[in-house]
Amino acid sequence: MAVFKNHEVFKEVIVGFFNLLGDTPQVADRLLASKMVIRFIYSDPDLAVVVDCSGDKMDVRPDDMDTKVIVEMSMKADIAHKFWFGKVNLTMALTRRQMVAKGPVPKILKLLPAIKPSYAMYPKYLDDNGYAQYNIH
Amino acid sequence: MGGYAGNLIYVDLTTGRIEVKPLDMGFARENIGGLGFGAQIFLELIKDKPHFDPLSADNPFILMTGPLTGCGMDATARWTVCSKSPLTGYWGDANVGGHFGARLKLAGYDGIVITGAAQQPVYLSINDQQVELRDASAYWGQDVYTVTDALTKDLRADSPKPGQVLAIGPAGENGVRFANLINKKGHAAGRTGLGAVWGFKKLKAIHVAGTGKLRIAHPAKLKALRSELKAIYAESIYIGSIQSAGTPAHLDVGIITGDIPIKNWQMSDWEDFDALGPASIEEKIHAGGRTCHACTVACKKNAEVKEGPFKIEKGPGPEYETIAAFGAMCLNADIESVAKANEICNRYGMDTISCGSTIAFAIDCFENGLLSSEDTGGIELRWGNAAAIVAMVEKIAKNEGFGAILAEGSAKAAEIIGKGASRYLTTVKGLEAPMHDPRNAHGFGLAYGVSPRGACHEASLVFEVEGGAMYVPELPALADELPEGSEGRAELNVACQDYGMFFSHCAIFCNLGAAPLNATQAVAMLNHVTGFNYTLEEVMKIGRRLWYLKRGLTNLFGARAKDDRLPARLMTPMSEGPTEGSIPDMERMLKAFYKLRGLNEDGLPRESVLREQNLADLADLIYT
Amino acid sequence: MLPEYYQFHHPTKVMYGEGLVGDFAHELEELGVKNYFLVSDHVVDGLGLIQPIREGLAEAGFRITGEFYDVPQDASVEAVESISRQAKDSGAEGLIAVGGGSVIDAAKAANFIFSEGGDLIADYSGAATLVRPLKPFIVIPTTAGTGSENTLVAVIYDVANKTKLLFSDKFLLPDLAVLDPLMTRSLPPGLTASTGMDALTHAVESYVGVDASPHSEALAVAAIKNIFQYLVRATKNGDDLEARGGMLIAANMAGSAFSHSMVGCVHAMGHAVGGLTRVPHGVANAILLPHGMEYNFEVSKEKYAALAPVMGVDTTGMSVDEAARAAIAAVRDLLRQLNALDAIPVRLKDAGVPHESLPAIAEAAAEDGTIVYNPREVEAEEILIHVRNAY
Repeated sequence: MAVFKNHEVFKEVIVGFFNLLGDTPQVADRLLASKMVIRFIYSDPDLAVVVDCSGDKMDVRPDDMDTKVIVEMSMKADIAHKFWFGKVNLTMALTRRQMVAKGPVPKILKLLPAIKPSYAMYPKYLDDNGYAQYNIH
Repeated sequence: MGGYAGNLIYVDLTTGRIEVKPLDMGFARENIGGLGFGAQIFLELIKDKPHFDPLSADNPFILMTGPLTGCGMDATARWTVCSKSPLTGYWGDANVGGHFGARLKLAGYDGIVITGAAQQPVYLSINDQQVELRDASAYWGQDVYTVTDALTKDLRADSPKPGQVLAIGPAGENGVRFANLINKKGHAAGRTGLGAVWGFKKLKAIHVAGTGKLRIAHPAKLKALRSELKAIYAESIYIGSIQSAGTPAHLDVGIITGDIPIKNWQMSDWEDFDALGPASIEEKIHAGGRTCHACTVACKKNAEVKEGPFKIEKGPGPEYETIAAFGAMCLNADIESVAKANEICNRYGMDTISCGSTIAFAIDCFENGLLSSEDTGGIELRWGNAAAIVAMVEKIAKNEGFGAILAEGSAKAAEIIGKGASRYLTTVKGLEAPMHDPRNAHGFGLAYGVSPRGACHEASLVFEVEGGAMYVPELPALADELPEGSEGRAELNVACQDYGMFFSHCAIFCNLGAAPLNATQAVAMLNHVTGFNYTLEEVMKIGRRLWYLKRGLTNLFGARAKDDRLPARLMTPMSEGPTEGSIPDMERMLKAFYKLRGLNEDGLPRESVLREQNLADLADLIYT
Repeated sequence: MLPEYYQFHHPTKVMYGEGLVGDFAHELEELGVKNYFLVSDHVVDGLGLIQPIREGLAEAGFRITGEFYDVPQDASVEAVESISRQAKDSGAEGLIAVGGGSVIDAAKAANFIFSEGGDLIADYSGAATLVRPLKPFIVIPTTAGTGSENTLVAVIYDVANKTKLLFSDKFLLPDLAVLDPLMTRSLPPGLTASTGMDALTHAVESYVGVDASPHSEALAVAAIKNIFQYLVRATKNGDDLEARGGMLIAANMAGSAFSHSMVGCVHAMGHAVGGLTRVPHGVANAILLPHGMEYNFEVSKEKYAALAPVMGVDTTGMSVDEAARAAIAAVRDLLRQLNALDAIPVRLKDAGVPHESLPAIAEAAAEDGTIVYNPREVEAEEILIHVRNAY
């Protein structure tokens, strides 16, 4: 059973969280420094989100399929959810193709230290924004 | 037939006698190669006198390549060494890449069996058909870099192709219990202290030059497999990550799940941690890349520190394990000091995991008041004291002052220090655990516990499979979704041992570079190269037999069920972070494992099991 | 495939043997003259190598009418003239040269004027200027490289015009070549290696050259085989007389081979490097040989492939391209082995060639006389790439 039953809720949760990261200098500054433009393609429920760090500010654009991105990551919504709790073994997820990445690998990996603080932020974010029911890890 | 060079060299250092014997192809078919050969030959050599000191002329040392070594495919440069470990007193082996194994094959030999001990320093020179022991007194005392350069240059004119040197450094000469053997300055047969075996035998180095070719049984099929794998490698993010950052890529990945031990296994995250990671490495010490023989993965990285107290010339840089050991484990965020410690270990010839862990253990003792600076010769062994850590590495290498105590390995050092120092140990069977936390992946706990050579993440493929780098769909235990916690880990360990013995002990594939291969591809490569027609079932059976053989040898040398337990430092739950509250359920896993493997309550393989495995000699030794 | 036409002319008698220099006089009987003028240099004399020759000749009733030792590193017109004058004045009827390439070439060229009179440059420059044999000419080489004791050419340096003059005539071929390994025993490792690599260059270039014939090829192959077998040994241990002998024979055979089919672009580059930077001829050739082979790869690869097994490469299962590459690699490997003995540099840079001289070297190479025999046309622009690679 998928954690998020509905597209709208998942979109709210994930876009809201990306925006929170964008407003958190500790995370955002390093992402902006990387100039990364990444599209997440989620399934079950389906959703595409572009996180654009090429400008002065992190720009989060749901349903953007047009922007030419540097990296594209595809995964189930559940895996993404688990990932933000810091509970995904990234090596295994990539090996077993639970996450599929297209684009320059080193650039993706370099972002990992930048987003490390977000694992602690995610459960708190869920609780503070009325999504406590999804705080299951 | 192909893959094998077809000859083994036997050297008796006591008499100076050298014999070259043809490799029995029936024996090859049954044991594949690598430790499959090594362990079998070792047993044969010791069975009439099974109890002996590792540092005595009675301890054989065996170096064996596998049929794939030097075949020119990616991730097949590896080869093995084995002997009784001076560090643990049990079975000792190590697995290493670089260029030595391939060159040995091209000179015409699959392996070298060394017995006895020399009176004066010698080195073994192999130049195609010419094999001889020569005086090494001019090289004795030289560090690994110096002797490697000197022998390479001194013997360069003797062969059209440059030779390869495998050498010990002063640590091996000085009897440091975790001294290692190093090829080309940075490829270490690192674990279990076999450099000290050479030191005792007064064997400084082996130089091999060879101009032959390795025959491949089915070159066209191998070529087709190469094309098939090329696409898979190009897509593999795991390969991409080690290609770009080397094994230190794991620093960014492992920290997320709590895989990396910090402060002698007391923390799973730390605010200064990123100072050790790939970005910091690139900024501060990175100096280009290197590779093993014919491998396009090229995960090896060089390091250079241009100035300051930890200045080093450009040379092999620290691997992940080394950075975790001298950095995270010692709460030392100075990556340049880690590069320096690594260089000292390479030059003196010491295992970085044991050395770093032993220093972390000593710091733990110091910080907890069990040691004072009076004991340590004025060195303030405090968390994060980079200068003290580097100074202590050198003291250990020279077997000098307090370094002489740590040079015994942490387990023996704890006995010498007393005062309950053993509570800070991270060893199983006397071998310091590698830098992957079983509290994150419980299967690692069982793997460390039952590994024949002591705490080790490469004695099976549990680390690769549970850690996520490998996925072998043909073997359900290596492909199924793993439940959380300790459930199913005994089954996982058994399958990962059997397959792992074939994969990285016999064939020999590199656990890192060959991670993308499934079992069909791995077995196909072995068959294309050798011309044999192994099935997966068969290689699993050969692997299983080797596991029992190694386990049995360690039991023969005295290991029992109590020695399969993890030390307290690894069994203490974290109060925060990704592994909060988690510890492997060792009792449950061991119970299930003993049952699956047919071990009795002492931890010995039952006699009937050994006989079933066609290990009658071993059964006789253990049970009569 | 056989050439449409070729000829092989080899009148020089070759003798080989350890200690032969003190015991070859009986071979002179058939030459019909008793009085010889000896040409050598101070180094050879200083090593005491002349004395056994003097004694052997005296014992057999021959007379040395005079001795000349002032041959410079590059045989000069001036030295040639002095030799012919002094020889004539001494009453000699024949010449004996004891030395390396310069001594032999100086004596060889001196024989023009000594025998026929006239002016060296005005009357004898170029090829085939003679109509009858010259006076008896004996050669005892003290290096194993140029093979000049077995060739019809002499290279003389014109100091005034800073050019190298080439003399080529079948009558320049010596009457007798005495190969004695004791004569090369004192040759230091550096000279052993560079002269040996010079011989290898002669052999390889003559083998692939446009005028190669079955006879010259056979000699080239035998020379290459010997060089791969003996050069490292001779460089490493000068007292290894078997290796010394093997190299003398190899250089002699390579000399004969290139005397018949000439040399190519390696020599063109080598001459240019030598002319512009004073890097010794053998060193320049040694460094440039693998690069020249690369330059000719496409047109010569079948021949390289045939040489690979001669160089000790196991070519089973190799394609022509692979075997040809392996032959070039074998030459590089040999050079590196010699380099490990500190006997020879591997790169032009390490030989002291200034970087800015590379374009001039390429230009000069493209105009060198040897390029007509190279299997591929030599263009300065393309040869520059290979000269750069050698840097």
